[in-house]
Amino acid sequence: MSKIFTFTNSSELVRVPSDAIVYIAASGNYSSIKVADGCEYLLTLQLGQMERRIAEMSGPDDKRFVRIGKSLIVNREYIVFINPNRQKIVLSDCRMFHHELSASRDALKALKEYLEREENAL
Amino acid sequence: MSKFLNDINDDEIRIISGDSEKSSLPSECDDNDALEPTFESKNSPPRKSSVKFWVWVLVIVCIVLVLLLCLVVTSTSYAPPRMMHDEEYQSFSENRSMMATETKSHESVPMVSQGYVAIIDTIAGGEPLTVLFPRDLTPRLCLGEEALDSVGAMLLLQAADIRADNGGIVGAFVYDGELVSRGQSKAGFCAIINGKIVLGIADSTPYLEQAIETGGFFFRQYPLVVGGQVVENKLKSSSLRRALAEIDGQIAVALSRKKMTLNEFSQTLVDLGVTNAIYLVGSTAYGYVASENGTRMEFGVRPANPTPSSNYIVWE
Repeated sequence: MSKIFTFTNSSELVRVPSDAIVYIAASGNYSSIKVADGCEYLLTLQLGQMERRIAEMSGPDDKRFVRIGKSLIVNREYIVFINPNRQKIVLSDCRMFHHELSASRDALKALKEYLEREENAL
Repeated sequence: MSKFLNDINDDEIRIISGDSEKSSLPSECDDNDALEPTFESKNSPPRKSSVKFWVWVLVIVCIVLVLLLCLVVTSTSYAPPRMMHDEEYQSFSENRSMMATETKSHESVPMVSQGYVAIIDTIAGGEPLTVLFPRDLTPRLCLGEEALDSVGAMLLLQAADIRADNGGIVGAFVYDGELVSRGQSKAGFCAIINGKIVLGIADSTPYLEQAIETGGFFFRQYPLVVGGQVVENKLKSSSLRRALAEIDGQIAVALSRKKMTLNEFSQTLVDLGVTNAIYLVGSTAYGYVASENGTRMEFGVRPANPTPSSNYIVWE
């Protein structure tokens, strides 16, 4: 069973199975967690704090979450399409949800190369 | 090597993973120690974070030195006003803890001006809001072009609506003791008498006469919250909303960060702990707040040709 990730501050608590998190987007002092069921949870936590929390809760071999630039954390298991030139990344489970997001060209290029290297290493 | 919380550029990625040694890391410096190295594209220019880090250290040291110098100067000449600010900040912190919300404060006290605006990002009822608390500032209404060019204004927002048919002000409007516009199309009102704001809901109110007699100000708007209860409104469209609100006895301005109906906005204000609130013109209506470094953060669109009826509530 997937590990439950808990994000909490003094007034809110969000508990989500880690494999249900599709992406986390930053908006100033806020972060919104997009979940596989389509729900979105807004928290008064900066993306860096969310990143740190994920690192604390993840196992040493769990590398499913990737920080892309200053404003996005994605679950790499849902990455189905990357086009650095169009600055486009698509996250989907190929069944229920489909999210098109934008990120910098260089970041997506780095992510693409990283995933390719990993594929080749297998 | 320790990295900092947001030590990542937009053109970089970082794999997030747990670290078996993370529990031994000191909490004050382990923000990203448990994270994987940052990756860049092969064609990206080499990273300059270490240089940027030392530049930031230098900048911070300079700022601290300047602040210390200012503190030394102000402590010899302006000690009483500073104490007043500190007490107010303490009071605000206590009040803020009473709200069932998580907040991020950008509050700062400019060294030059007596007054300032505390800017608070918060979430109430799941909705993001920005709340502006004017501190040691005097409110008044302004008309026409004068308002936009007010030098000492720290916070400015459009107050009453303007009629689409004849360009007049909607509802009763008192400017500096003079009744500029008549009518009672909206039940909510704001009276500014001797520099104090009174919010309320009434078809007729003695505050209108009082504003005229004391050289004060008065305008009407939609009521949103009265006595901690939502006032139902008919407007169903969604837009960026603004309100003049009373929270724990303090007057504040609340700005919605996303488009909402008036009823949704009113409910969010109640969730925030607002006891009384009236609407301020939102959407693309012009306004600004002076930030901690003195620059103006604008919202809406500045009117190219302000009419004589263009009216604003201003804190100076």
